Amino acid sequence: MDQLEEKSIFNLELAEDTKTNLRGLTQWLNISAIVGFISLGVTILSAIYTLINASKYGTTGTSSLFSTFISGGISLWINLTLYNAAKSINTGIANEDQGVFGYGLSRLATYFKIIGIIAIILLIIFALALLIVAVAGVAGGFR
Amino acid sequence: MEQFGYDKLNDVGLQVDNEVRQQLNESSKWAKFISITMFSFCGVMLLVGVVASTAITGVLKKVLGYDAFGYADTGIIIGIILIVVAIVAIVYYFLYNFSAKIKAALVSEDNEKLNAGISSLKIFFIISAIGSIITLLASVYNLLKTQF
Repeated sequence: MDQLEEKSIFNLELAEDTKTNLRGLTQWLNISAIVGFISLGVTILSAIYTLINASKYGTTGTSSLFSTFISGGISLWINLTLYNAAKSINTGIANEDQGVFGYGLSRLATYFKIIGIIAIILLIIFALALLIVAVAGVAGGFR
Repeated sequence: MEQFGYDKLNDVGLQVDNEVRQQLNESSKWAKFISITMFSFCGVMLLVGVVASTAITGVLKKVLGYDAFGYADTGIIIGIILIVVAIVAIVYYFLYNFSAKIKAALVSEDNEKLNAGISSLKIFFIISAIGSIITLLASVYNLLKTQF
């Protein structure tokens, strides 16, 4: 880590083809974020229809609304982070602004961090589910 | 007089300074973790698919209410799982490549490796975005089909 971060004051300068590649990357980051926002809208719309249908049959669908609210909030956060990363990296390259460029890359790092933490949480849930199934299987075997 | 006050350092373009280096390193570490997690997930899916393909076919028959694939059902289930696993593995290979090349670029101060790493990340996001668009279209179609 230290070896990577503490280099000489003569930094690696971004070549023109790297900048072109970064511009292409930001286009696709933007598209991904916008598709994410639209997907979130579709999910909310779908949840509203489910709620309306549930009320017709006399149920409230509160748990469905709660899970949609939580996953929607996380999805909004992830896509906003990605959108900000794309916008700042693009602005940083266009204006040759080191600060904005660095901020954009920090947003990209945050995006990966959020996805990584979600992956860790899902892995824990998966491991717990496997454990429960294994324990239930062993307990069933003793009967 | 202002000409003398002009700072020559302003001529320097965008650089991989300590801040950028730190952020790229952070992205690279998390990208590696995510891709390895996805590779492991692919392995588990493949294992479960092969071991439990008969059970999965049974569940599908119960859910769909009829024999969806005829006699070749188990083979088709394994085939579908193989295709899904292969697609996921290829997509996350690009993320892993991004991680490895960025790390190598930061260590060796190599612009070509940096460029190759960013290219890999771009390909990863292109495939992800196309996948997301297809999923979005499918969910819009389902929503319209169920509501209207």
